[in-house]
Amino acid sequence: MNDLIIEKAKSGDRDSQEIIYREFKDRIYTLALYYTKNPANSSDVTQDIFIKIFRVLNKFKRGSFKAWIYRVSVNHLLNYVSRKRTFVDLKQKHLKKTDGNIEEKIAIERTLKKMPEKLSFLLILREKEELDYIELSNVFGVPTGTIKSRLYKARRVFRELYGGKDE
Amino acid sequence: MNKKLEILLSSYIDGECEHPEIAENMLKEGKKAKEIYTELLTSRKIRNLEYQECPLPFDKINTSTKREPIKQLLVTIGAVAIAILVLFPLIKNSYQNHQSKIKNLTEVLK
Repeated sequence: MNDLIIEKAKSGDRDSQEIIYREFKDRIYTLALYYTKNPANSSDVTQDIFIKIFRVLNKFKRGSFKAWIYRVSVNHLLNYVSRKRTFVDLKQKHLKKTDGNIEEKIAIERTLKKMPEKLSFLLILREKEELDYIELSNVFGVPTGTIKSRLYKARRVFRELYGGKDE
Repeated sequence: MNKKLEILLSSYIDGECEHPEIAENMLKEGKKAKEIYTELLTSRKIRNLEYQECPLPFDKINTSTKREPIKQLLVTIGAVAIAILVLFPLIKNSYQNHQSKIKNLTEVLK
């Protein structure tokens, strides 16, 4: 993300804010979709997250903007999950009809659902969003060594649950 | 296998391993290491998930905070105005009643 756009967005420039919004909206909406009951809730949560992002944007000084965005989003979603204790059971209607291997996707989402939220967030941000260890360390506020061992644990748990060993 | 070595394999998957040569040797020589590596790679399936399109239009992201104090101020002014309009006649009546009672009392005392 261009520094100039971030600076303009900080000063309240709506066009720059819209560029940031368009860049991240689908990612955050999809992330929220895993942890909320339905698309409507997910939209609400996404809206709340972006309002928060733009309100506290001045606090972003340097480093990975992507990591900062995810830090705000993950904190918000963890609060949401702890309040609601619901993790959506993604059904086929939420997936695109053109998806090739829909069964596998449902299995992946169900596996993520069974995992502790912090581990599933971590794995999604690493595997899907490809955040590096330093960025993840910024998102979760822990040292990179902790990220390393947590990712190992998350992979282990994912493998066990995906393989159906818990059922 | 030693947990530390398994963590090393996990970080090797991420390309964040401090000693990739150790991981490579483990994978070349050990069948168990290969098994664990393959198991840990299962999480790569997450990459197959697709983003869902967010239906929320940007104009719903209203970050305007400047309007809120003005709105609050207007509400306060309105409330004060209503209070004055309602309370003023009451206070006035009550004052006049009070005055007339004092007057009556003064007359009685005389």
